[in-house]
Amino acid sequence: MRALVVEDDAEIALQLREALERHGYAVDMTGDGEHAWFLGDTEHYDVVVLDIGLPGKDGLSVLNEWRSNNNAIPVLILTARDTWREKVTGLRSGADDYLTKPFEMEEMLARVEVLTRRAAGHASSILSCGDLSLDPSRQQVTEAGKSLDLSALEYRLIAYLIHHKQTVVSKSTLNEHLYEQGFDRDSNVIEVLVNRCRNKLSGNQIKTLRGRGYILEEE
Amino acid sequence: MPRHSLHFRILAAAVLIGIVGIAATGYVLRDLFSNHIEKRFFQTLESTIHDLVAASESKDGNIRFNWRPSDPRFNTPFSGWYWVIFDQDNTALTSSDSLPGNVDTGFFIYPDDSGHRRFTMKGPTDAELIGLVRKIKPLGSEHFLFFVVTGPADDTRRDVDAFSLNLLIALSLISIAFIVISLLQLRWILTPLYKATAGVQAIRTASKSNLDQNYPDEIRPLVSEINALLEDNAEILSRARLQASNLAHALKNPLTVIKNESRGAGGEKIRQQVDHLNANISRHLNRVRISGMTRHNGNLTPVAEVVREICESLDIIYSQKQLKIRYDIPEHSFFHGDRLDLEELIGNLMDNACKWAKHEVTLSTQCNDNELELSVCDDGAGIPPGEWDNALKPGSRIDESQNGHGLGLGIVSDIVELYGGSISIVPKPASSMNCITLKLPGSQLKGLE
Repeated sequence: MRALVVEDDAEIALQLREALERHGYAVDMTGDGEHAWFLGDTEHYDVVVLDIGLPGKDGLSVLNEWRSNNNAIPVLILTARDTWREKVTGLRSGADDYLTKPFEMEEMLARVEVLTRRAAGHASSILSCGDLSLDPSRQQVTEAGKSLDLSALEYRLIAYLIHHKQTVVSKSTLNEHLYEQGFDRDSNVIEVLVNRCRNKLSGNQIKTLRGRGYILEEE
Repeated sequence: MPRHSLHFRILAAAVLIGIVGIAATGYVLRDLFSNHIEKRFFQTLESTIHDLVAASESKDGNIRFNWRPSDPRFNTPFSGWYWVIFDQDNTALTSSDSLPGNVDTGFFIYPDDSGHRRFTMKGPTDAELIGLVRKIKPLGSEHFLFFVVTGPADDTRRDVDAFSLNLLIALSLISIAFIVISLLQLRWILTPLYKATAGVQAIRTASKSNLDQNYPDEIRPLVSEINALLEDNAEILSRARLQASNLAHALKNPLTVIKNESRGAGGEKIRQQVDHLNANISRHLNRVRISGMTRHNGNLTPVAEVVREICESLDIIYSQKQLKIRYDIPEHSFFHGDRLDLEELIGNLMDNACKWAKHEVTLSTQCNDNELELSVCDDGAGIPPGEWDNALKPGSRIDESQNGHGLGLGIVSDIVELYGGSISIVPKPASSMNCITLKLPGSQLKGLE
């Protein structure tokens, strides 16, 4: 799962990155509106945490442009201004949720989690697929009630697949959603990662569709 | 009438000018008229003497008169119009018919040697007489004769008095008219100032934002200056507000960092203080924003539009909770005040209701000529009656309204207080809904598209 953090305050940006990474996200950061717009337009994020008060191009303009280009990427806006005008404007511009500063990272993570889940069409906070279930708030994957010991990347892969269960996911899509920007992407790495995960699962839920990618099935 | 009023000054000036001017005019006119009357009086006496002299004929040392003046006043007994002719021995030779034969003519003042003078004296009826004496030697006579003609002094005085009375009435009427016209003129001149006063008052009571330019040339610069002053004030105010807001927002980022850095054991106190600080900033920022806001605009905010926007946002914010958010707002209901204030009122009340509601939140309004009533109800637990006062007290301490039930009603109270409205908590046990009702200045405008 990949997140974009758009925040010009370096300290908050670091805290956001740390919290999201802790939560299993691959995080890209920028403090510049133009760059944020470009990243959101070209990269594939599962969620964007967007500060409204950016120097240069402000957050709402970035959001408006994404939405007018039919970019439905889930966006959580951060705002220092807590008037209702600000909230209404943000939500009408296409934000999926808002958070007023000062906020706690746990609150931010809870909102982000709801957004990614909602975007994938899940209502419950625990996502499951067959024997597998994912508790994003505890970053835990269990198989038939037994907790799995996963590395950060493995967790990211399984979380992404559970979010998009029973959907064909190509290697390049996985590449785009598991690694930060600038990571030297190689499709072999994905194959290795998938194999590692298969070995940790007792069932064979991750199927390979030759030439098309992978699919997580309920069995 | 206060001494410093323009009315008093104009009235005083009008009265002064009236009295002095009219008195002087009256005096001059009366004097001219009196001179004229006197002149005519003496002309009459003079011409009578001429006639008498012309009619006296001397024959063999005796004087004869073959003429009587045609003026009937000289023939009316004791009319005051008399003539007498004396010889050098002061013997009355003949006299007018107005002096009956038995009247002693001795009352006349005998002229001195100059033979030509004016005099006043008492007549036979004790009335005052004005007379003229001529010492003339008639044609053919060797002796001088004295021709005395008199008329009643009253006669001239009566004419002058009658004239004076008429003059006084006319001049008094003119004075009154002058004063009335001055006052009317003042009122007319002051009308634009009264209008400007009403305009400034309207600005103060927030029903207008500036004065129009429809004023006389002399007042327009003042009006322009007032408008410029208002604009300056508004600009200073908005700059100050912007700076306060910038300061507040500049504090929010470090607060976020501090709050998150203090996670874990021992940080609880710091986090509490950060929340406290943040609540204070929000509350005071809101106060800065609303102070003076309503005083400088006459905005009408459409209630339905604001409610729709807020409810759309709440639908998004509380989408997970699957709340039924319902509202019933008649079109053309208007809030008399700033849009941002109404947004804060409805937003905070509805957000609060959504937070505590189980399934349902409703917003309804009633609007009459000058009052807008907003009711927000939810089916949550409600505020315990013992805490109502704390929750609603305008200007209540921030920790009271912030903590406990987490009600953001402090901001609502501040705004309601500013608009002179009222706020009340109405539990409805029958429908198991808890309602908060606000009463605010508003109106229902009909026929408005």
